[in-house]
Amino acid sequence: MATPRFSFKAGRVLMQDGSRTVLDTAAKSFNAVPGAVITIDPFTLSFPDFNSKGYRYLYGRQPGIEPFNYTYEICRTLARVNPEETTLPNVDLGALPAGTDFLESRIKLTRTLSPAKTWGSISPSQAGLYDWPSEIIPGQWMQLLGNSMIAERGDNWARLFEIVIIAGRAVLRRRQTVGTLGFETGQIEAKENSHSANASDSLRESNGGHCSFVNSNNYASTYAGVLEITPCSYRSGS
Amino acid sequence: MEDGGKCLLIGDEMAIWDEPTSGDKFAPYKHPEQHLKAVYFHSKNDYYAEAAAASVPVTHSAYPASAPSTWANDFYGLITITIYPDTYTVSRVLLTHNLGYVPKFLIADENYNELPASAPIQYANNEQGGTRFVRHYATTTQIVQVEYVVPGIGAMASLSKTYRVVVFRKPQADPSKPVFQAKRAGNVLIAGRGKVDYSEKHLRLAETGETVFHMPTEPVYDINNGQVRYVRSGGFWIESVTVRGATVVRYGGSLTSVDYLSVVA
Repeated sequence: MATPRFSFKAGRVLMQDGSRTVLDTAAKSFNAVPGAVITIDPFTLSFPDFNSKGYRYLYGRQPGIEPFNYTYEICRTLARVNPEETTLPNVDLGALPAGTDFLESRIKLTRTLSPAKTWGSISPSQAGLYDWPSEIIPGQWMQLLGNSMIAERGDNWARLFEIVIIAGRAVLRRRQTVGTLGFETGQIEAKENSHSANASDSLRESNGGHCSFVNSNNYASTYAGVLEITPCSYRSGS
Repeated sequence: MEDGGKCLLIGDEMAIWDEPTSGDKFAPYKHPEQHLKAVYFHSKNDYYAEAAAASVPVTHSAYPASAPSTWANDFYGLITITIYPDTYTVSRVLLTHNLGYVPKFLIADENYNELPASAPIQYANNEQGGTRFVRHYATTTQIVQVEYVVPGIGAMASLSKTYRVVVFRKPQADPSKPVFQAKRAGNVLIAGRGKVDYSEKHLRLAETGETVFHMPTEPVYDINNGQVRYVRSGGFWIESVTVRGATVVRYGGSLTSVDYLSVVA
């Protein structure tokens, strides 16, 4: 700590700690407006189910298995999510003081609705192996530098949210994307069958005994908690 | 006082502002929330004063490629699906502040690039799916880093980083203090009843020659075609890719630059 200095001359107000600048009209401080802080509690961040879901059909067949010359066949259907680029409706978060040009934001969120665990269920009645991913640390205050964050991401998909200034208001924007070729999240159904050599196959995709095509997974995701936005100004001039 | 278009008034409140080109000269003093761009300092506003700071070197561990997990293997091996499921999570305290409340903070890498709440800092083997993330949160006593590693099918090399952490104190006026006080004896210089004290550092725009943090003023992420692009200062970005056999799925959006401020804290 050095000698304090304060000066006002030539259109410049300067507060210094020795030669270190503390406050300077030539290098504006971030002015936060405490009376305009937006605290939303409870705050809900939600992403809907993906728009288009389907399946991937896998089939295998092994004929001529001795000693009875039978045929073994197997089918598996995998839950697939198809490509999409979705911009969700904006959510108005509140008015900002005129001249706000920077938002300092933080969140404390916990996921309250999660898609099913991914990959590994042998049948729909059995749990999968892995929790649906999230980049939000549950129940902890995370600072939103840049005011944008990837809430969730996986191989070939992602969910984004960001807080921006639009026409003098704080606005939550959300998007989700699934890339070309989509992605798969687990098994819908698996079936095995053995039949004699002269009997027909039954588990091909076109057969009546095929594995289920119905991807009933709901991939909606919701977080609840607190959002705090502090409006700031760093620009000067009109 | 007025000088060169700037006004300084110390009354019930203290304010420094640009003199309006028309209308009530004292409007920014009376209603700072309506004249934010004109106001440089107002005792009703808050300022981000540094409560604690640290530069923390971290050596992130190397991790092997994920062991393949062959899933849903049938007796004859007609349909096999192999996934690479290994992940690693490591938590570490970057800074202990013991403020007793959850403070605001910023965190940056060794090049003073501020990091978003969940930041990819390393991709393994480029297009083989491995990613290392760091995520940060604040408690009433600490700033904590959570490292999350998905090695994928390639090994993740170790990585040395330095994290620069700045914790801000809760701005609080002390009603027992004057709205402005400057005394050479005892080295006293405060403004806004102590909201700004000359002995502290405050978040502000940088001046020439100062070591600066690069602070984004607009969203740093974009997503497209299933991929994520994260744009740092200087127009440098990193992005994910997906590989499906011979097909490489890439980001197809247009985010190439983000406005970053040069600030000191």
